[in-house]
Amino acid sequence: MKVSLVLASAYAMRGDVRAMLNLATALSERHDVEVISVRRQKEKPFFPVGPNVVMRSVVDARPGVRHLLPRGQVRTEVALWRVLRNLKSDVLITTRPGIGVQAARHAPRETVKIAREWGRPVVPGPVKRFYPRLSAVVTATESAQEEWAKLLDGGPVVHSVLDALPGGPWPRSRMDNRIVAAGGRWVPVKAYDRLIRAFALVADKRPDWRLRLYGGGPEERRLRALVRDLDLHNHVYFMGTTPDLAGEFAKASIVANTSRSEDLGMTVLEAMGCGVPVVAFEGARGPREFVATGYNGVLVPEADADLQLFAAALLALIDDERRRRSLAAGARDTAVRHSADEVAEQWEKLIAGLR
Amino acid sequence: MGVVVTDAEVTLADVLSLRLAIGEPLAEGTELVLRHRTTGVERDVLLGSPGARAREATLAISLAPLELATGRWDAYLRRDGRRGRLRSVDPGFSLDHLDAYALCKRTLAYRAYRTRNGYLALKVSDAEPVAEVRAIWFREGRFEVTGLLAYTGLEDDDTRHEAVLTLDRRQTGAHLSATATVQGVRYHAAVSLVDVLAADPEGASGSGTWEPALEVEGVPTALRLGARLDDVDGKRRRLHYPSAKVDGVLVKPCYTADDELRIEVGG
Repeated sequence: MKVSLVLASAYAMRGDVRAMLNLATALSERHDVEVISVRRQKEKPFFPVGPNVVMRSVVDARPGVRHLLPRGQVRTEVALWRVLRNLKSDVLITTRPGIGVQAARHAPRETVKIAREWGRPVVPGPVKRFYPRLSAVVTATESAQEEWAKLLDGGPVVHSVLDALPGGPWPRSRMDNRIVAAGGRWVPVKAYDRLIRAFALVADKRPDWRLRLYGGGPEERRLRALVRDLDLHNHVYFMGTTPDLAGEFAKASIVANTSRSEDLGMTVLEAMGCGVPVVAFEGARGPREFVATGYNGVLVPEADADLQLFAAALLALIDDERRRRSLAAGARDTAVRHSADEVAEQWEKLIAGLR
Repeated sequence: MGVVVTDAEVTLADVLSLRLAIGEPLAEGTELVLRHRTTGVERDVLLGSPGARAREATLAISLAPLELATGRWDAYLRRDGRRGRLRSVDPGFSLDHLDAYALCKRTLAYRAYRTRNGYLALKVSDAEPVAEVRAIWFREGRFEVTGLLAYTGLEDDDTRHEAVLTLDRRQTGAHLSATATVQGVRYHAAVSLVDVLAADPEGASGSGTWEPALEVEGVPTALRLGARLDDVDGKRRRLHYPSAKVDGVLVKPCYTADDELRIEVGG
């Protein structure tokens, strides 16, 4: 079976890219898998990809590459249309509604077309109109499944399959470093400013604890300024991007996530994979789906401009090593359900049912 | 071979202690090979044969007799000429343990760690006495620094030692000193920023870099201030310290490329 996965860019550092590349790697053990990246800005993907996965791009946006057509939206759409129309795959999996709509319109009729979705679409009109032509919609969480089923009332069947974590031995935290870690793109929606403000309260009471921020992004300047204003320069480390986030999380004792509306929470899953409890806000969907207070982490009710609760949750975990260890065991159990082999099997079953 | 390191640590006596999860018992004649990453030099240790079938094996390898050169060494298991790199799931060190490790006087410091792609490796570095920086502030017109002394051989108790913080400017040869407190291996030092500017009147107009060092009674060499006792390399990029302005001149502490502390004035 030949499977094609279409991503907006397989070269970016994002949770959805990580999840899809993990899935591609797991599927490539038994099938021909190609990852089609609509844009390619880099030589190599940020995340590791299995050796059997074929990487292909629609628009090569690497610096210094010459193009026949002028740059812009039209070029991308024409190029994507050509790729989709000539697709010789049995299964086409798209991410993001924008690409899903194009696949519904232009991909060959005999291809099984599946849209992989996380959150609700920003522009629901085209989705409602064209998604009925798809074979199925697969969401990452059950709450998203309900939402999509409501949106596509009478349309394609909406399934739910979890995101995949790569297999192989996972690093494991020893829980003996006084470190709180957080990872992801430094963008406003992740609300790292809330984390830093909450950590100011923690550092006040437990000055030997450190906060390590992994990732990179446009918020860096603002976050560094905030750290300076709060006098936390000895406590907050801007660690930058790392190809081995799990290995870095394994050095920490707690992973914090203050995201406002995270749909995916891939870093939360990775933290659980290495046995680190997660502290997150209840409002964000990703963490809410995986984190259960008292089992594998702590969910903090969201109250605007009040980070006392979040800081209190961090402090409670900091002071209770036994609880941290029991949560870590729960976290590892949670991660087992997300193992790539198991997830790939679910996808195979789902695809077999559609063909 | 299905061997995964579940616990790795270099003990205070420079013994690499490993716990391995193994699918089948290690066969007789299995060797642990350490290979230097840049020069390719290899050192091998024959492992003892196990007494009983077990899912786990513990190894203790004394590192001093292997005469490892400084640098990074990758670990392999070799049997019958075939070798496989050792996978590891353990970070390989804890920060508290590194502090305890640095209490003794040493010439070489060994540290086990997990590489980014998940293998066991060993880092060997020269260990000269240094003053490890843990926190820095600008308070009440003074520059304050605190941390702990590493590889000096001083006891971690409550005894006080006479100490002086010195600042040197290599370009002009200017020199400045201030008393510091050392209790056990913890130190605290402060220097007035006005004094820093006054010590080098030529420097006040242009920019200059001061090199701080700590002279402690009982330690023959001056201790340079740096931050190397953890896994965070490249602190220049990762830790940005705030700056202070004295008489319109900017004073800013920062790290060099090899994680030594400097105080930049002006510029």
